[in-house]
Amino acid sequence: MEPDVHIFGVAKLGNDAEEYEDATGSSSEGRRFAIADGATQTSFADRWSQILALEFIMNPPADEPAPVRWNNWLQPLQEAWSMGIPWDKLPWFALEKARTGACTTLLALEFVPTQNGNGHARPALWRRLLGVLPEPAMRWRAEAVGDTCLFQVRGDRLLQSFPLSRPAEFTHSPVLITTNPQQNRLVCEHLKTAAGDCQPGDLFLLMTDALAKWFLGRHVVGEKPWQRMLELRDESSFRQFVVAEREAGRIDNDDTTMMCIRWPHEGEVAS
Amino acid sequence: MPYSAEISRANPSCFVFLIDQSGSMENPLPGAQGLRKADGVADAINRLLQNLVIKCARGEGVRNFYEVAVIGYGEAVDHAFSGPLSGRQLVPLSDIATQPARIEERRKISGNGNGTKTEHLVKFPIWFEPRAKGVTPMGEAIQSTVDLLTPWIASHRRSYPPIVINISDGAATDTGPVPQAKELRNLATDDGEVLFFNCHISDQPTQPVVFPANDAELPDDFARTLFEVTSPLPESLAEQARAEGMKLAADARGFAFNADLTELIRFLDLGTRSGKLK
Repeated sequence: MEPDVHIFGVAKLGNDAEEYEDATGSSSEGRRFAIADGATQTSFADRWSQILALEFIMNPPADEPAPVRWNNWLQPLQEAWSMGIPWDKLPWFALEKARTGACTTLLALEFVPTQNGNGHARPALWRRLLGVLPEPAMRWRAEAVGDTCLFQVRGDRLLQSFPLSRPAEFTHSPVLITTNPQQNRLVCEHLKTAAGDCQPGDLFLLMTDALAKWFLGRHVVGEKPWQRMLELRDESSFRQFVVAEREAGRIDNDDTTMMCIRWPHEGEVAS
Repeated sequence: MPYSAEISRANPSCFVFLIDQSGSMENPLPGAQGLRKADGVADAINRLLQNLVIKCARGEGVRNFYEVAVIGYGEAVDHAFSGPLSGRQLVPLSDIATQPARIEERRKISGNGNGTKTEHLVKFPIWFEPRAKGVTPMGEAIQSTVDLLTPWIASHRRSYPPIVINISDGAATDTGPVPQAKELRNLATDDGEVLFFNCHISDQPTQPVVFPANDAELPDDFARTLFEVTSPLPESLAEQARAEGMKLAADARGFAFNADLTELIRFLDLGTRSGKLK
């Protein structure tokens, strides 16, 4: 079983496409996903967010206790970021700025098949015959630093909102992952984790902060914002939606990225 | 809500620094280890410009979130950048970044976290030179700012309003500052009136009065006049000051009296932290 995955992004109004600082990664077998939001007030943040999002897919942190795990994973990536900066060619101001390092959020999501094997749930007919509750096809676990969010929707109901659940929780200074290894301990202290089961038909929406704040804002007034998200089937419709909401003052002007992961219902084939 | 516009390259904001260059700026500046007031102010302005450039640096370039003018007043009232920017009025930040008059190397001592201190050389770009001669034509300097900002405002209606910071050590010797300041503060973008902040620097190591909400603690008519023409701090700036432990009343103004070097730098730092950079 593989999910149907769509990834859309719109750059901040007034910025060029090459200044886009959000990054995404998704594994070809549909098990690992990452989304990172490079902090615009730092330099070379686009490279840093790309490194983290892609590395989580290619070489995720090893299965070790949290502080060791993250420190061991981040240190070589911090070196890779630094190696990519043309230090000797930078003018004085760019050099000073780059020395202060780059920052990014990271939301990493992983799906793990349950013990019944390969991720397929036991057929519904058998479950009915046996009179047991539906057995989850998958478990998921997520880790987050910063304000990039995950929403799990099941049966037209919001099941999980992680790591933030209210619009007021979005601040201008979330804790971020920096290129400075001395800050890694702080990252571990602020790392948030969540886990749950995944049923056929479940929808997972991963969003950077501007859209996540909009999403939660609509949800707290009783709307079902995921329905609007599901209507956005291509880059063009996503762009139109973001631009219109920005003009209406409902979405902040920021790089805006969404990853939509929809697991097929039983018997349904992913598009 | 006023003073909430995003500062972007499409809608930049601007700073104008008015610098007293009268003869009395020869006198020592308290807290500045033998520096004259003119030297201390020049250092503070150069450091501020350096920080502003670094703050707006992205990758290998600088984003033009601001334009900056420096007007000196003393023997004459004139635009006061030196070097390649000499004579230029409002200068985009990218030109400031790439065209300092020169780059000095200065010794900086910093702690390394284990109690020991190390000395190292740091780059210190210079755009503005100290000068101290003549009287204090503050009114004329403010009027020049009105003339400079009137067309800028007309072409930047959606921008965060300009911030004008006046640094002086004494009373105006012309008709200023009241009528000119009134005209200046009548200028406004759609996001709010021009902000006019004033910093009086002291000859004496006396207790500074910083961001007062009324003139009760001010010692003389000159201080009260300067307070009267100063803008209230927008709430976003007041919040940042409070976040750093300063106790500010609700209607605090962007005003400092008898500031020493430390207060001058803190005043400039806070006064230029306007708006959300996009």
